[in-house]
Amino acid sequence: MTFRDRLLATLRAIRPVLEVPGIMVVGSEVPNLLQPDDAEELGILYRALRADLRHAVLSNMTVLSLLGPRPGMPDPRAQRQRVSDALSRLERQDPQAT
Amino acid sequence: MSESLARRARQVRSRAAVRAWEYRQRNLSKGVWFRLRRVLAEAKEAWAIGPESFDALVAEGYPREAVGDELSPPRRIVFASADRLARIEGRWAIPVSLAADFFDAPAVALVRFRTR
Repeated sequence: MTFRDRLLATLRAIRPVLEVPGIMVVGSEVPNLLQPDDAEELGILYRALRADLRHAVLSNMTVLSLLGPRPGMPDPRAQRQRVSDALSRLERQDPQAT
Repeated sequence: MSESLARRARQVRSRAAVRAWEYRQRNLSKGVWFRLRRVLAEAKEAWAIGPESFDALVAEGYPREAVGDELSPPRRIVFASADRLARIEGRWAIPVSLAADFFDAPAVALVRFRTR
């Protein structure tokens, strides 16, 4: 499977997350696209969202964390810890998150 | 009104009634599904255990996850260490997901990705 195919398959899988207004995507399964400052940038973008959109981000990340494998796409379960870490990081930065 | 139109009208009303019921369930849940998913998002592993084992874990100080009590019927959910769970006989691994295995288990013990 080419990189393009893997990227498209991943995007299809996380479409519910991408459809949330104001959502941003940070990082990928390709290591050279994930920069060390991505987490900090994600936090900055997240804090700039309205409260309801921040909740939508967290909610959809919990959905992302529980996605099962689908034919023709990378197994999302391999990324569960990264999603969990990202969730916790965002919640620590948002005192209103519950 | 012809019979076919009447049947289609019944079908439309039926779908609307089902949708309205589904929206009521969602709106009355008060975020419980988000909180349940949030708990599972921290879990590296999930194990089905018996009620006695669950009670023993709680008695040892592993706190029961409050979100389990918000479900109807209530679900027994607890985080514990992998070492402690390894000593529970008869446990079986289940997927970390909101699937049938999770809801059919007598109780669920979870292992975190990292120690808090």
